[in-house]
Amino acid sequence: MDLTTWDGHVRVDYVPDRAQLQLTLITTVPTVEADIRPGLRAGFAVDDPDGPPAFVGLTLVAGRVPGELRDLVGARLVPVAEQVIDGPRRTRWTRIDVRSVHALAAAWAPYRDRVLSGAAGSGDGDDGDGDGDGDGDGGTSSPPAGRWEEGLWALLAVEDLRQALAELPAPELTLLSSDATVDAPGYQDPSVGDEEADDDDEDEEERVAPVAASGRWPLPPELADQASIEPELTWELRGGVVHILATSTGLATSTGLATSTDPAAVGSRSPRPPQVSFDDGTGRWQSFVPRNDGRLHAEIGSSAEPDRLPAIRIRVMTSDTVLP
Amino acid sequence: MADRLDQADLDRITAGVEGPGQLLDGMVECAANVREICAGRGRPVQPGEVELLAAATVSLDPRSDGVRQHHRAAEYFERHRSFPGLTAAVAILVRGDDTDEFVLALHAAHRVDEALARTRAEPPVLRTMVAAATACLGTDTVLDADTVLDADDVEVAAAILDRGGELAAAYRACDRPRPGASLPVLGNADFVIAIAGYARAVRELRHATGHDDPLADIEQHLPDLETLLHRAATRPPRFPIGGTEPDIVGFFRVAAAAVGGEDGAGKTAVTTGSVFNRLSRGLRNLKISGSARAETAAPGEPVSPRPALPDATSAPGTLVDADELATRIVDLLSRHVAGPQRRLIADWVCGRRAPDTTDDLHLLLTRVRPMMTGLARQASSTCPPPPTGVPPHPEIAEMTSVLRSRIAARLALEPSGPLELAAAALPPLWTARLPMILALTQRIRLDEGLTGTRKVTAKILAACAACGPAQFAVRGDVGRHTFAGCRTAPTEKPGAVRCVERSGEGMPGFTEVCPARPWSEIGCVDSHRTLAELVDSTPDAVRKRISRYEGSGGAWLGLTGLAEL
Repeated sequence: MDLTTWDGHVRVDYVPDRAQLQLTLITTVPTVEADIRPGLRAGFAVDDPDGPPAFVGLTLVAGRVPGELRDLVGARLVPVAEQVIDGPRRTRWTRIDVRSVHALAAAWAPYRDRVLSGAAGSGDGDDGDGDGDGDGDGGTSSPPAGRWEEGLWALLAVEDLRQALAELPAPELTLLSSDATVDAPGYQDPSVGDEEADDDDEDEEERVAPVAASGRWPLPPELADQASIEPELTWELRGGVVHILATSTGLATSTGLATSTDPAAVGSRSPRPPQVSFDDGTGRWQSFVPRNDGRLHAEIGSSAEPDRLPAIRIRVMTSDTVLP
Repeated sequence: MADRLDQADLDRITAGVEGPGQLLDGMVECAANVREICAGRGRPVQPGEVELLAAATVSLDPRSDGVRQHHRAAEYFERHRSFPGLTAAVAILVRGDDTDEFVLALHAAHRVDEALARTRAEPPVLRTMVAAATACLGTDTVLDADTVLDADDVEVAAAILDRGGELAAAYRACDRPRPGASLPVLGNADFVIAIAGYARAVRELRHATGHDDPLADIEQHLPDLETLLHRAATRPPRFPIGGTEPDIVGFFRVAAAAVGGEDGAGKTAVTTGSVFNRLSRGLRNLKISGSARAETAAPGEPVSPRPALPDATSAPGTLVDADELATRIVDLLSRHVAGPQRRLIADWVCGRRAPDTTDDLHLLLTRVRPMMTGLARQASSTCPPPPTGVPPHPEIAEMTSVLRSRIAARLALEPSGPLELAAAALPPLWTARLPMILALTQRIRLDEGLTGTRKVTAKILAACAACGPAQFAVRGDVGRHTFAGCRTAPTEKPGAVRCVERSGEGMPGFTEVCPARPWSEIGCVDSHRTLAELVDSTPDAVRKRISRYEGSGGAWLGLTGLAEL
């Protein structure tokens, strides 16, 4: 009888020479795989648009599964992975049930979409539909959301950004983007916005470079819902740093208070702010912080060559009460 | 005797007879004659040989009426008893022209396979391949004394499994060539490399390795393996069994032969491929078709692809006797099944099976569906309880007793109809419906060979099949309920949402469609409209897809009928 990934036969292997952990959901159906980024490779069954990864190869950091990948590998398989890493047996089969397979499938959905569409790992791809019909629902062009135990995440279509970066004068790019990585944590302090409360223009800081390029990214509607933002982000490229703007929905825009990151001010139903990150394995997430014009702002930079610019991820945690 | 048999074997034996009763009469008569023949020869049948005797009376020849001629049966029996410890389950697989070496290898492989099944988590098909390869190591290879002589062959097999897995992972981790995307339909890089890993582990035991570097050795063997598997996967089935699926049995047999590494072995040699093939004879029938459809409808009852929606308003008022209902449910669930299947059903009913697994799911679903229709029919007319003349198997008694107490406990809380009681008393096969629909989609797609644009059909059928004991998919353009207590998620159809989880109090009405109904809830779970949303289609197109499938005579037919609302 054929084996499908949903049968849940998983082989967990650790290859010490390469510091690599492998998960194989063995199947007899054809699969396609790709390098998602350095240190992460994944394969999926070609004919299963809802399926879990059939193969994951990930590089351990300091002998452990890196934090974000722990979330994606999930509570069912991480303990098995740790057993195998600790040895002495470096290979182990385990059986996971349909719900655990589904949890994997849900968590890896954004990567699955990339790998099955053949867009993973490379910088090329058709020009984004980033500035489509601008209004609201995102429709079919929005990327799929991934769901893991604590939240939702998505990969943003960065082709247009890559192209814009490639067209920038090279020296400026290298210089500023490396600065940005260092500066970023300081920038997200909400107090910065408060101090300049009177200035409601976007150029609130004198030294900010002019906008070199801009565009829009549709969001998965459920993720936007969860974050209480419009299902579309605006990005602006200023001196090699990517500024990302989100618009709060509902009361947020009129009062400014509802978007506060202070939990005491917002009550239990309000979400934590969304965060963005390059998918480069470093796991540095930047939170969106409210600006005085009511929009939410985050900025990220990468020192990668434009054509190798990692994908950008957005995530939002669900409220503290985790759903069963 | 039938208790020791695989369902696949029982199906083949009973294919030519009118019913188990006729077969049993023939077996008893034949066995009595064999007893006489053996006693006459001065070698009377011993008490411990009864099962072997029974096995010898059964013929697997489809042209026979299921029972061997007495003298042939006596010959078989004499031969089988000459192998110490040979079990009926293996004896039934032995053919007259098998060599002694082959019977011994079959016996050993079966024993190793059973032992591994208790301690290891490998997928059965891979485990059986390695068990067969291990059994064949002894027959055609001279091994180093220190390699195996003091090791039990179960340990040898376990070592092959470990070493093979390790090698496959190591090969995967480096930059060596991967099996190509040229592999069609079946087979993929991971499966091929897993086979290559086991094959190298076996070669290491045989000291038949070309390279010292195991990964280079695997690399060298891969192209040949790939070609072999490719050929096996594209060959049309030798035994057409419906669908457009290639010969999966032939494919696995080639894979097993590769693990054993006897590509050049002569025709009479005992090979891993031949042992594996005989042990996994069930694979052919596991393609569920024949047996499953026969099970869905008991003799004389037509397959009812369209379950009847019970009258919800009158159901709770019906007077129900816990004892009688439990007996009926067990009878409907276990009618006409072989011993192993009855044990699987009992494991489920008595709460020893974990929910959310796919093993034997088809079997259990095909038992639940006729139970539903049977209960509905018996509830509407006063139908006498099933005959209790045949002495019940222990599993039957156990199931009845467990169900009786569950039903009684539920009745003490509130009056309920028979279907509701059955739904509440039978342990859930899933704890969430959507994941099971997605899992069944892949299973149905492969079982039925649904490719290209017909892939959508598999998802529709899966949603129809994933119904609890009191749940129905219904016809018509009926929307989701208005009840507010469900968490929803977007569907493939832009803008539409589907219930994925019950999050609030209460439940929607019986005739309202809720795709997230928990297992034990009574009511509608899908409709042409919700199915259309699930696959981004239209209710009418969904209806057409289902009726096209109903014309195809597929194995999931009895599970995919929609009720009339």
